[in-house]
Amino acid sequence: MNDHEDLILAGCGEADRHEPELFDTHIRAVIRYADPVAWTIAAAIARATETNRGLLDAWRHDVAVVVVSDHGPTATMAQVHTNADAGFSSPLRYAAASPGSLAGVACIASGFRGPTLNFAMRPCDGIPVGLLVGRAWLHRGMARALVLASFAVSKDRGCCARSLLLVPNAALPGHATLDARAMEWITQGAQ
Amino acid sequence: MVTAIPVAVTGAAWHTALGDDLEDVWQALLEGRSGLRTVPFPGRLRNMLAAPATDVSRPPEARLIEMAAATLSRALEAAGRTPSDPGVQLVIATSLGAYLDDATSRASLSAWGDAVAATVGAVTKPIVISTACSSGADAIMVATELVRSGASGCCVAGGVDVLTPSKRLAHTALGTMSPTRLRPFDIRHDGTLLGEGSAFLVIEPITSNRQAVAKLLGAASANDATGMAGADVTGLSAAYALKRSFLDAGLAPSEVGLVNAHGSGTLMNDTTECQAFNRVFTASDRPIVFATKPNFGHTLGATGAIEAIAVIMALRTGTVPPIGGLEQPIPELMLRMPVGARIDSDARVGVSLTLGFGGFDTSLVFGTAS
Amino acid sequence: MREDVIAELRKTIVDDLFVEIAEDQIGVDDGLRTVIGLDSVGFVELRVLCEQKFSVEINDEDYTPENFTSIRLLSELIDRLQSARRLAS
Repeated sequence: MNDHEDLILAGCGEADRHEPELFDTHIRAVIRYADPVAWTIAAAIARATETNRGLLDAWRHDVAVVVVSDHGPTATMAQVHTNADAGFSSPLRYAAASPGSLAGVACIASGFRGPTLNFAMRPCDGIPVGLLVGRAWLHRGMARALVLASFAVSKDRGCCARSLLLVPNAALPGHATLDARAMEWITQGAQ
Repeated sequence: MVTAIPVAVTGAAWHTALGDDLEDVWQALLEGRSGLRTVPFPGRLRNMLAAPATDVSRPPEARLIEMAAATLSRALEAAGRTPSDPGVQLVIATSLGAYLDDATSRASLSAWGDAVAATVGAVTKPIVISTACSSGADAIMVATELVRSGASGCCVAGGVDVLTPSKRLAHTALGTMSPTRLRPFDIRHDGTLLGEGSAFLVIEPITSNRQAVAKLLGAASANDATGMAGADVTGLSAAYALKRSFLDAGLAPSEVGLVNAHGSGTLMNDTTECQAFNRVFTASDRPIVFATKPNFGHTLGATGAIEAIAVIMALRTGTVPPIGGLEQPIPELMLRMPVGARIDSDARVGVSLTLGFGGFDTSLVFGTAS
Repeated sequence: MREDVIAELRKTIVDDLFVEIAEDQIGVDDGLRTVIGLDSVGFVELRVLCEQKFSVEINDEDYTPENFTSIRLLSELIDRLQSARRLAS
């Protein structure tokens, strides 16, 4: 039985590294520096949202973004730590060390101004609550579309960012709904 | 399908540079006291003032975990509950926490949350959030959805953050730290000052047998989508957060009597907030705007939760503390503010707005308990 | 004009500020905001990098749009600050 028949699976995307060519020069200049994990998540989200670009263009300010990752912008955090020990601080890196940037980079890249959350949790733990909150937003008019993304590092897959674009059933009637297979995919299995 | 169960706050607790007791700290705010003081630092900072709530010479992760554990336990106690109750869901948040100052701390973003849960004897896995300065408010927003939907019968939600050398250096380098004092909405505003602390709310269905401290009417957020550190100074997304939260609460802006502003004292944030208020409130809407960062410092990941309690206290007591450091209000802010003295208020609805670093804007709407 | 400072500033803009322009394409009078595209966070980053690389302190009075308009004007600020530091020591 499908528990998610109220949600249409409008797109999915995956990435295992930063792919600068997916983003305009202007976007890269605005962001200037972000952690590789944030860029990888943004790449997956870019892929998930490209097939329904027209719809999202109209809804841009009401697209919600929920990211779930227990792995933070650790490379940048480590740099900030090292710099601080030497009495130095890089404003660019401090901004990029914020765990919120795992969602924020995608928002900046796509112009999404909907509600945004970053769950600092493993996908298997955080995706269910992220979906619950995102679905509530869609139903109550807080958002018109939901981008759900997960990031994990595993021995067999290495870095893996996955993203789904979900819209209410009424927005794309007749399209495939969110199903257990997609949920298992975004949750990236038990870790 | 999500059902919307009305939600109440049945317990609250904070740990701040001015103390722990709700009424004592509120009295300190009404008297205009501040927890900001000189905190030594082995290097050059833009300002040596900060508002510590712990012994900052101790390791940051230990302070983070202890503060969160103690504060959420007190909140639950106030609600007649315990952390080991299987019906209680922890929803805890920080911004950068101890991640920048402790290599093991950042290996897993949720590990500190698991440590908090273990410390208090919680039997369910905690929900851990880290957005930015809006983290504490975001935790409350998530808890609201969990209780409204029936997924949880009781959440203890809030935020915690710690003062660390890396953060003091960073706000010096960014130029966001005031070289003088924290004066939100004053014509001399020139930056913020850092603090630390913790605050948690117990959130339950309004029909629970517990006595409500306040009603939690609405919660919503928005993203500026503008830059990694900068805000959208047009106030568009901050206004979205406010409007969405009013929609969520089923209220018109004219029904809002109080707003606890983010009030961080930076030119950028103050400008953004003024623009947002001007977008949302009309000339006939006259909520009182107040701000508590001059008292507590900017407590980063805890601030949204600490300021939620400030709104609740203002609603419960009918008093609004003066905004510290505010003597000459900027003309752009056209709403009422307590300048130099407290104001009495009969407001029944209050809002807490938090603007997170990197564009995370969250608005919480509270109502009087009865 | 201090060629060594100019060269270091060009390298900083490309390597540390992630500006996607070749070093030799950055003109000494190109507007750092209008042509190179730095925004407010880029400028604060440039300020702290100059302090670190050139061992100077750029206080609020010197951190002005005028001094940070171009790498020529910035190199002149750095030169002034380094000279003042030498005189003081």
